[in-house]
Amino acid sequence: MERHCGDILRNIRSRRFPYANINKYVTSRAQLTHITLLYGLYEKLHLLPAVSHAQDVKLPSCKSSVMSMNPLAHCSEPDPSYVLTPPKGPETALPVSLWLTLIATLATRFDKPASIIRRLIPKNTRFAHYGRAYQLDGGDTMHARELNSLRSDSRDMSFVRVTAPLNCFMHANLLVLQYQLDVDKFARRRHRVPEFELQDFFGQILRFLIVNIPHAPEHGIEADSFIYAAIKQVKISEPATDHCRINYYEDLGPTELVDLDQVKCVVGRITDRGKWAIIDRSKSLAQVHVMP
Amino acid sequence: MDVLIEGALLDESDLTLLRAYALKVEDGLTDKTFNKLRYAFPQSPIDSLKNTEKRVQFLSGFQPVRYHCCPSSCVCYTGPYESLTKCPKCNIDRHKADGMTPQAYYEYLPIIPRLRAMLANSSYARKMQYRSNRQHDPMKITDIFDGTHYRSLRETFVTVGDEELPTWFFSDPRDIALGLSTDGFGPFKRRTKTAWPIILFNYNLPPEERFLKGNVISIGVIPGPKKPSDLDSFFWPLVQELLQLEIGVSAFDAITKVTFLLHAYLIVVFGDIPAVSMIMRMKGHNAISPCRMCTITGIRIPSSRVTVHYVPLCRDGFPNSQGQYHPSALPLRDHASFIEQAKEVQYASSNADFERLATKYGIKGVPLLSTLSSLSFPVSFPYDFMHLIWTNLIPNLILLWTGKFKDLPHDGEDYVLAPAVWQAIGEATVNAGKTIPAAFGSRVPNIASEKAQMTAETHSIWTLYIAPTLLKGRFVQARYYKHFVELVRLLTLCLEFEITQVQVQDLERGFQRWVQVYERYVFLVSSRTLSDRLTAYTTNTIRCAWLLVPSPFMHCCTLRRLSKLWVQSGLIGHFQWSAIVVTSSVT
Repeated sequence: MERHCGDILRNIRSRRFPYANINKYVTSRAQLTHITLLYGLYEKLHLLPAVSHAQDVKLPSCKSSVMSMNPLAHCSEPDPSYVLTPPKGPETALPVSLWLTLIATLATRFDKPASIIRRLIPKNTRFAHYGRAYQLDGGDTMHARELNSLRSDSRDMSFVRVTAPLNCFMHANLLVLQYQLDVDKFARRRHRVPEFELQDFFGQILRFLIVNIPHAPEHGIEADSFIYAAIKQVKISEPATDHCRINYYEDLGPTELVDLDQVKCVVGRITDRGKWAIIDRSKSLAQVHVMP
Repeated sequence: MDVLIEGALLDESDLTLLRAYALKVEDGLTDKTFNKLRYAFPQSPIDSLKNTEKRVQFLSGFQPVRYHCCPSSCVCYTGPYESLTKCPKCNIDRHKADGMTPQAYYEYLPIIPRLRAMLANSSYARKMQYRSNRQHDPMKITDIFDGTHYRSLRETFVTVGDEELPTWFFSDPRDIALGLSTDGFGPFKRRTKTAWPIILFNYNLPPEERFLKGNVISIGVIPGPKKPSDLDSFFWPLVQELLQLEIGVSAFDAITKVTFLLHAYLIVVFGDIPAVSMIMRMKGHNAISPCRMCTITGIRIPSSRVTVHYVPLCRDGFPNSQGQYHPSALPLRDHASFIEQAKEVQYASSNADFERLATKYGIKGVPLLSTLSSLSFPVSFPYDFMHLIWTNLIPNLILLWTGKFKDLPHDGEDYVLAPAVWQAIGEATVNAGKTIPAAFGSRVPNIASEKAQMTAETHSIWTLYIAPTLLKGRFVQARYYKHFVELVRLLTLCLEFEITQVQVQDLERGFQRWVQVYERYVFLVSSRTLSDRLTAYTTNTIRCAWLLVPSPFMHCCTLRRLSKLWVQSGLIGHFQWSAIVVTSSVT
């Protein structure tokens, strides 16, 4: 109602005969809508060019193996699909630390020793980088901070909530450590029973990258493409206690690679008396499931 | 029947004309600019405005019906006033000096041809199947169609006048559910003059579309300069059409390609409190019996000459009134008693009797809309969530916290925040604008210094997301924060896309408790001397929080960024009210 009033108000073009003017506007709008319905002219009277999506990249949504084995998976709705849009970075190799993280992440994903993954994706592999992603069907738009710098008047859309199985990050981190210490130790972890407790993480997206996995039948790996988000995790200093679910953090932690499917939505932050509070408008699956 | 040839081809010249006209209407070009287009783009075959309008009217096949009305918009000369030559309220002549030309017009846009056109357009008709296709789950409330009013209508026969028709409400999947809304707005900066647009919403459309601008059915604007003194005379043509639609009008169904009897029923009416009071012919929110849902009575401020009435639950300590209302046992109105009281007032034997009864009941007469059997008084007239919470309750709470609530002694009260603290909260609010993504809604201005810039939307964002952080640890006593956070919890629950019956009970009890605690806090500290507006509104809250309706304003302005409900694992429907009329809990 308020919006309707505002619309009429903006369209009063006569100060002298405002009421006649209002009547005329309301009538002409009704007639136009009526004609649109009668003759099916919605597209023809929609005076805007079709939006070009030539530069967008859509991948079939990457189903992470861990998620699909998840006994709770039936609770969540079908996986979203994302669209990556420019700004697009040049195709370059990853910094070594990020590459190591990627190897560890993929090793977890395929449940293969990192040595195999390293052979498939050597250090000098070039990746496509993107600076923005949005979820189809009206989901959030997310910015990757390294490729899409924050303008002085814009609002920060780079912090997100990630809902992932609890072991996902830890496992990856462990693997990195172990890789650095002793590569052979992976073998022992290969048949590790995965644990499926969903956990929320918050962090800042640095970049989106497309990882193309080559076909490797000898290892049982099929060619596939995944979208990963490099996310700098926040270190929660005061976890949420009440139902307002405000988490506080003071510092950012290590960078992780997360399947884009696990990135759920953007979150807001408020700086309050020296701390950052994370505000999350969505309901977390993790919380729903962990505390039934 | 109108020309309803779907997809009938228009030739290129008609399309050119319509495109130019669409540009004018959508972007608010003045008539002068439109006439200039021909000369600005000489190659384009744009016709003059006069010819264009003529052609548009011909193509649309319908035009507004003009009714005479009083130039100070007291009444419209319809129904009982049809043959009058002077306004019954202000005695101004109906016609100009020539005795022929009326002084003012009310232009009414008929709805029947438009509803027909909707069903004759196959893609639109398919969208309108939402109502019949949705599955009702008795344990959950996701839409107005889960409310008890709609559910009980489905088991009722349509009644027109005293005659019961052999049809059930909504027995045909194509039957349309409508909602009515009206509100006054000032066309000029000094808001001394008001115009009253009347609109209908088509509830057969899916919830994410029904409040979009293009889907709103505008039926006319009651011209200013004053608030109509008899609104029902302006509703006369609408009610006539709605009665016809209750009986049924022939229409063409584009999906099955058959002619059928189209029914449409008005099931809900909403707006702010003054507008709905006017529609229901009630005395309004300052009356002795101010509430449309119950017969709670107001009390005046002791030792004050102001005649405004307030309705706190707890009456102890007020002169001439004792005891208290219990929020779970309020004296609710029902349809039969409402209509009976309205009739009693309408047919009062003398003026004095009329005044006495009207004051007693808070009703001024039988509203015209009561002739529609699809409406039930007062449950079809729920309180509007946006006005109730975001433009009344929250601003009032803020006034209380900042010690600016009118006429209240705030000195030394521990619920008041120090000015410096409030200033800091205001600044932190502005700064949060940069780090809260646009998906949350618009930026919130400095709530401490730019109060005038705050809108319902920014109030809601501030309350739900920003305030719980910024108010933490700011009150002298933590209980005030806890009390506020409890409110946030309840409001968040109200805004879920889907609520269960268990949650409805939680809401009901939660709001009752919240108001009782509120009154305890405020009354205790102010030694029982106040009765303030806030209480009036919070009392409404308890009764009516579970009678929420979607607020069209919030819907429309933000549906573009419709949150991805399922994918984002159950986002709170911040901008998409759960659209509920849960009358079930009001027993």
